Amino acid sequence: MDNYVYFGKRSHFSCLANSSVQASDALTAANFGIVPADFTAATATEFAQGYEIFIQTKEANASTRGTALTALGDALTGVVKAGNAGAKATTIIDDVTRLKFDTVGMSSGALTVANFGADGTDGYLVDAADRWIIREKIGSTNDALSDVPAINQAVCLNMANFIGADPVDTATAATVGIGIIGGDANGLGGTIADIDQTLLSFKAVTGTATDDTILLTHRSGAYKEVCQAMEEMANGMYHRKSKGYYTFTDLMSGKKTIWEDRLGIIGCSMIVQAV
Amino acid sequence: MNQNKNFLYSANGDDAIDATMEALMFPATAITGMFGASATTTNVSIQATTGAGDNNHQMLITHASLKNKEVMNAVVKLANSSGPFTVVSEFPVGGPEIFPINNLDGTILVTNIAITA
Repeated sequence: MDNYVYFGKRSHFSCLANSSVQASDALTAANFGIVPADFTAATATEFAQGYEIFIQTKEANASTRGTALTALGDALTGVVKAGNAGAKATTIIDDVTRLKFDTVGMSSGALTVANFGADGTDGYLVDAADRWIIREKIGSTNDALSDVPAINQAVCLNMANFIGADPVDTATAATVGIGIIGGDANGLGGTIADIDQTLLSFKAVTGTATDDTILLTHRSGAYKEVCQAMEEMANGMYHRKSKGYYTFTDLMSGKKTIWEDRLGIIGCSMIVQAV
Repeated sequence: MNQNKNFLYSANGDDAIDATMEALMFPATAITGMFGASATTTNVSIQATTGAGDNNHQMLITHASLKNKEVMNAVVKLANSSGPFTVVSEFPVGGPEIFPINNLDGTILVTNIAITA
């Protein structure tokens, strides 16, 4: 008898703006699992698109943020900035702005936002020091990402096929490990904190030589605890208790598993080899 | 020597089992993983009985809509049952096709299991 573990996906990605300031780094299968389809900027809801986009300001600048973005208020505190148009368009460090799809498009996994000068309503002039956070939307109706079951949306794996856990680099110039911790489903009431990522490898369910992998995004410094959790599931007693599988992550459900809570897991994506 | 293993058995919608992959028997520990293939189907991968290093066998379970998680859980419960010979589905000669897996969860309503090499 073997233990089995269930991983449900909620993709998460963060990066520094760097030089290509109006565009994010590209989402890929490796860093996001299922990459959203290309999208030309137009009115659309986060639910329909299946993901949400935040910019954390790291350099205070004038003439930065469109009036419609300011009117939404800070994405985490909900505070709507007071003052005249000039004051509202000025950002201060650690502001968190929720972008709108009216001015955000996606091409080959990279998001591009129109700058404030081009669109004073929905545009945002990104500073090289700013940080992007892109995560799947709870309640998404995007069939391709999560709404209709398909490969790479969730997987149940035999712990006998677990190979190992590797820390993922989240602290280079190109990557930045941050995420929204806590708050409601929209992030309101949450805070931005450092995160780490761990890559779990399993022998492929299909039997091919290339492994299946699970990318976990979790609380900073929790790598060892992730490893201990994997040991717990491999050697646990569920197989003797007719309890079915261990549910390790099920983030899109909006509920928290004990491991999500204990390890501060806020993201999970996967690459399962096609059968 | 008694191996004390649980073996799963599944027949593939045909009362006369006389062709490859119309039925399969395998040790429960041969299940490598599962995922939802669509709203009404869940794929179970099983180590190939041919001993090949790839192209595991696939068991595609058809069930009630959006019950993928529950189906996977039921399969795990079957795999970890005391066995030693656990029937997932069968088609007795002259009788209706039966799916004992449904006894584990009344909501999953499995109606077909297709096995492919």
